[in-house]
Amino acid sequence: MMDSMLELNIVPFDAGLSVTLKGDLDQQAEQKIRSVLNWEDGIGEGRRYLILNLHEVNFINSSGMALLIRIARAGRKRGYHTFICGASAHYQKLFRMVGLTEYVMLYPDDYAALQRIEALESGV
Amino acid sequence: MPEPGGGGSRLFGGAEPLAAELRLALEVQRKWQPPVDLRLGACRVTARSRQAAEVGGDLFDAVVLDDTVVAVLVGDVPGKGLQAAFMVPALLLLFRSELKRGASPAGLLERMNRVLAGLRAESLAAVGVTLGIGLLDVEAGEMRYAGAGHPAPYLAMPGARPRQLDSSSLPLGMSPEESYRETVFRLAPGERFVLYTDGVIEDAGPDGEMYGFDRLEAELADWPDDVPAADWMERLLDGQESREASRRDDRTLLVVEYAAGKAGRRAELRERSWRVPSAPGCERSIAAELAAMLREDWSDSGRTDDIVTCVAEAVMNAAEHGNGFDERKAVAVQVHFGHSIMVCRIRDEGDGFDLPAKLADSRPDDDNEYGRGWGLRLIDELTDYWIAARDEHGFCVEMYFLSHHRKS
Repeated sequence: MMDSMLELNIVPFDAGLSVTLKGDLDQQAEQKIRSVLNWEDGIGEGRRYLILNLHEVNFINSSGMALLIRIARAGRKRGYHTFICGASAHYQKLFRMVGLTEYVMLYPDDYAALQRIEALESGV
Repeated sequence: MPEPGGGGSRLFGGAEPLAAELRLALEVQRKWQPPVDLRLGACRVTARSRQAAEVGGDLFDAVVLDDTVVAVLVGDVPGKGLQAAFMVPALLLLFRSELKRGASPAGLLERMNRVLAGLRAESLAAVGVTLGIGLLDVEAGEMRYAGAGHPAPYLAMPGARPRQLDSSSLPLGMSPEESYRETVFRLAPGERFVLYTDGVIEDAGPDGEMYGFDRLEAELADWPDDVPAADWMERLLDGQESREASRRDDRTLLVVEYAAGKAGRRAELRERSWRVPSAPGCERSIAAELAAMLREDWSDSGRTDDIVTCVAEAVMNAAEHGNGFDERKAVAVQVHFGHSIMVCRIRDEGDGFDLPAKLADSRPDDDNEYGRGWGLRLIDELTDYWIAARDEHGFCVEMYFLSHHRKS
């Protein structure tokens, strides 16, 4: 089996986690993500937001999209909201096709996602 | 796949039924009428078709047989709307299935005629289906042609007066005993064989004057050596549309170019192939190389991302579901592209799949099952046409992509 071509960088912030992914998001990515983030158990005490930054993801296939949906659906059960930012126009189109946008909010970059979180936190 | 008509009770109110029916008819035709732009050796076949405001009944096809023969078909079925939309795929299926049984164009027409006449349909008995079928032996340059009530095709050489082939006969479906005459001739290097439907000839301008054979012959005579068939056909069809008339019939053109000895013409077309063991992730290297190739050679098509996604999904399916990740078994990928179309074939050694069952199973609620069938869903959404079939070499998914810059 080919090794995962994915790298992750996790940066905590006040109310959640910002995860930057770099490389390919496919069926081999699950193990790599799970090794640093066990999303099914939640993302940590008091953390209500998970930002997945795909700006440096070159390739996403249907397995990668299914993985993103599983993370977002787990968030609904575990009480965190999932934001995806930095996805290209093509992948945004695919996310809509497979129904990922029913579970996540898409933003152009980290900054826009954080602004939305700030607004949610202040009750706007 | 979008639901034709948008679904729900709106289908049954006011003007909606007709609109929904037409959308359904268009969707049926889009799915069953593959784009045609293929090459075999020194032969290239290209077709362009433009529909009238109503869904009409033009059909065309090109099929490669045993690596040395190309079969082409152009036809016109009676009626409009759903009737025509469902007749077209039925005829294409009949054509392809009769082709597998072999025989000459005249023999194909005779067998298809017996099937259609046996239906005893009133619309067929009155008007019939016009069809022209050609079989080109690419190595010898020998074409065998037979027509059933179809406008006579042309042979055209740049700078020379085009020659029309005589092929009078009854359309299909009118008389079960009709026989069809076959014409056999040899194409000269650079020569073009041109099939068309009556909609091209009968296209009327704002003053009611028909386009006519004289104008078509003038266009054929003035067609320069270095202008590809796709460009010539689109310019001709655009020119007709510039006449600002309402169109009542589909217009279809199909050109067989025979370019033996013409090296320049071959350079327009490219191909690339890969063969990889069926291992998880084997699609990555193909996707990366294909993306690089498309950015270099097909950059203005606007389809790079769609193509890479679909090929990667098809390769992944072939490796996992077709070959069971057995690394002794290979996934073969072949892409052919001209300036307006790309055809991608992904082949595995498995038994294939039941498409309706796969698509119906694509959104199970079980989290662990998420993503099953999404590859096919993406392929269905992103390709202009695709088909999956099993043959003696294995199971093959064939996908067609039109360049957005040249999409008619």
